[in-house]
Amino acid sequence: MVEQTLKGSEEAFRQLVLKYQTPVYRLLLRVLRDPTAAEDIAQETFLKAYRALKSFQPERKFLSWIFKIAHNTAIDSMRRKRLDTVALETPGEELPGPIARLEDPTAPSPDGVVQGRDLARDLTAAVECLDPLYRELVLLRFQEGLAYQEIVEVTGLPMGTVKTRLHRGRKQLADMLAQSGWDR
Amino acid sequence: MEGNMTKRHSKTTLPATLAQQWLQAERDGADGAAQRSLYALFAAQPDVMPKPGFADRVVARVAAEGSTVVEGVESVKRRLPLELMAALLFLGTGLALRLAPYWLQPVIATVELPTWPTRLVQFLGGFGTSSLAFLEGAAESLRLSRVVLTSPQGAMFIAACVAVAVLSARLLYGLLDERGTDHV
Repeated sequence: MVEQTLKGSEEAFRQLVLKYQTPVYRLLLRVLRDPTAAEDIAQETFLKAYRALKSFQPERKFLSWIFKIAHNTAIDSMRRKRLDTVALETPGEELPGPIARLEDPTAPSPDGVVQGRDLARDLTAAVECLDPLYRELVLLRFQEGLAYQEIVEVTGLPMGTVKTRLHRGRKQLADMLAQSGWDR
Repeated sequence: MEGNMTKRHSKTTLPATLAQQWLQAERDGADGAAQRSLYALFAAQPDVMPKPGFADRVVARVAAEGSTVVEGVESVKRRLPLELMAALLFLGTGLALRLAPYWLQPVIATVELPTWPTRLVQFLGGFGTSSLAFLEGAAESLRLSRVVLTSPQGAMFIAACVAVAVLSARLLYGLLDERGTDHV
């Protein structure tokens, strides 16, 4: 698809976008916590990818390459717009309490479906509450399944820093979910 | 776990069960199992996608961007035909060469043109003479350095200084990096 796009095939580029739009948008949505901003930056990401397609090395994974573009584009956008990030202070300080759930008095008795919905909501909220130093790394590793080296290439961080922050982010996430009662 | 995450849990496993397995693995300190469980938990979450038509919007923006660039170039070409630009360039160059002696006459008079080469030679000669002292000092420094470095004690001392400097820089970088906040 990359080769066809470089030859000028609009359909090939459309297929490329269709294939990677979900992971790119999903990552940006969880990182930025704003669907509108996530879609705008996702569009910008694919535009930049199109312009830079000639520099793509086929031996690399396209997904990690476009994640790097998304990462840089998101950072540039946040610096321009000074988006408010974070609720947490530096790691090690007191974590927020159990995540508030939306209680629906008309909901049926808990079953797998309802529990799954609650867990999805709590997991999403916990990820959004993660320290921004950890959030993107946790998403790249556990939501997108990237290897450590690929995360290093996307973020430009040293390997040791990636592993340390991933470990701390995972622990922070676990503490939040445990406080919400998901360990029982 | 260095590589990509792999799914080892059945897709029929309830998300709540996956969460319990993950949190249990965290409590047990089973790092590998915890990572796999967390990856499976994320994989079990409902997907998020951009609004319908995302790919079409991206392709439309790419097409519009391409036509805008082409239109701009064509506009310039229409405004200044190649022949007209060549004629203007020829005319400008001819005028500049014809008028240059009159424009530069006051400047040439103050510079005393016949003596200018002599002054330049004197300056270069003086510069060369003072450079000799610099070069002699540099040569002596190199000689002393060679004496120190070829001695075992000197070489070990230099190596130890370099190692301390590298370790200190690495530690400082790591500390500063941990405190950095310019991330998504």
